[in-house]
Amino acid sequence: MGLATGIFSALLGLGGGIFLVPALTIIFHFPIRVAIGTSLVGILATSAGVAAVMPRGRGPDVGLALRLEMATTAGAILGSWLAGFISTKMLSILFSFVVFLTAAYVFYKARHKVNPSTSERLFLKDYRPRHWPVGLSLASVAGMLAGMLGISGGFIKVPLMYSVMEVPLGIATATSSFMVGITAAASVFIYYGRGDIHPIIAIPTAFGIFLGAMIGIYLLPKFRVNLIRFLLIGLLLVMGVQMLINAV
Amino acid sequence: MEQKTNNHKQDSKDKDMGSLEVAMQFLSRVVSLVGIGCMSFGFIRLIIVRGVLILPGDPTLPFPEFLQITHEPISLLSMSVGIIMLALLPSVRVLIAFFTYLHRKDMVDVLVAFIVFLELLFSIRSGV
Repeated sequence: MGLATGIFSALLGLGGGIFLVPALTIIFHFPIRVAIGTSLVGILATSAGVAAVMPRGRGPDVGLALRLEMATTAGAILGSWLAGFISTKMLSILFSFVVFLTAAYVFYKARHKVNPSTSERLFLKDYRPRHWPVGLSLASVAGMLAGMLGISGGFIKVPLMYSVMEVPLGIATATSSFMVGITAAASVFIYYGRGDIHPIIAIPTAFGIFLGAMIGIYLLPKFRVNLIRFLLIGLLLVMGVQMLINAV
Repeated sequence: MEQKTNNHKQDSKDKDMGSLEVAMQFLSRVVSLVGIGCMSFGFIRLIIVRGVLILPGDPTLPFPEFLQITHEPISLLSMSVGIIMLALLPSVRVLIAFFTYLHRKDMVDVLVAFIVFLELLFSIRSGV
């Protein structure tokens, strides 16, 4: 499961939590909070791995990341804490809503391809992030969803930085990868303290995700990504509906 | 003259950020390796000792029990330590950023890094 998650994540630029949590709850019938805890460990492992191998000069804007993380981390702590009080039914409904949103985002990406242009334009150094109030507000929402549902929130953070704050796409992506680790760290201790992290599930899943991500990066040039995107949209819709049915 | 001073400042900033990137990457590699090592050791030992894994299994060890290392289960302790190491890595990276900005006397970034670090400390404290 972790391997498949990692491959899909690398091929489609999505965090693994959006597949992993529904899969663990629907297929393996684990409690949703345990699935979320597992996903958070997977995110931490992937974030650490990516940071260890990131090429120099293609790294995140640490200053921008930390500024946004002031809001994201606060949201993540609140979301993680709230997840302990919200019923599993409500968590499942919320998650299915986010799954549908993600499907819409993937559809939007498929229809509106961003021209990757040259690598220099992706990693332009001469830029000034703008629209900070909106950026910080949306970052806190991303954090709350991440903490509550065990997702990375990258599908909010990357468009937020690129489209709203006018950060070059390559830097936005690298910065988001840096941020997801901090956001996951803000949430994982709360789940740890609640006993929602089970190493027997979390560790092989984390290894699988990391390995899958490496395989996915290797496979990326060999696949027609748009075809996979549309398959994924179908899968996400099925998962979202299934989670709704399970909740109701 | 002013241009030269600005260029020198920018070079110094780039150098500091380069050092920050190097330090973070080194730290990520070390902690990832050690954390993965602990998790792998614990997981493999658990399979050897128990033979069969029953899902979802036990949750991670609570923090007070970390001090009771004479008690079993060593496997669960090792896996828990590995997970904690990965979980602490982002906090340490934020701390490195804090000291880098402090060295550069970039007080706004120092304050930002400090706030994020405090938030992470708060979450750690909430979980303990």
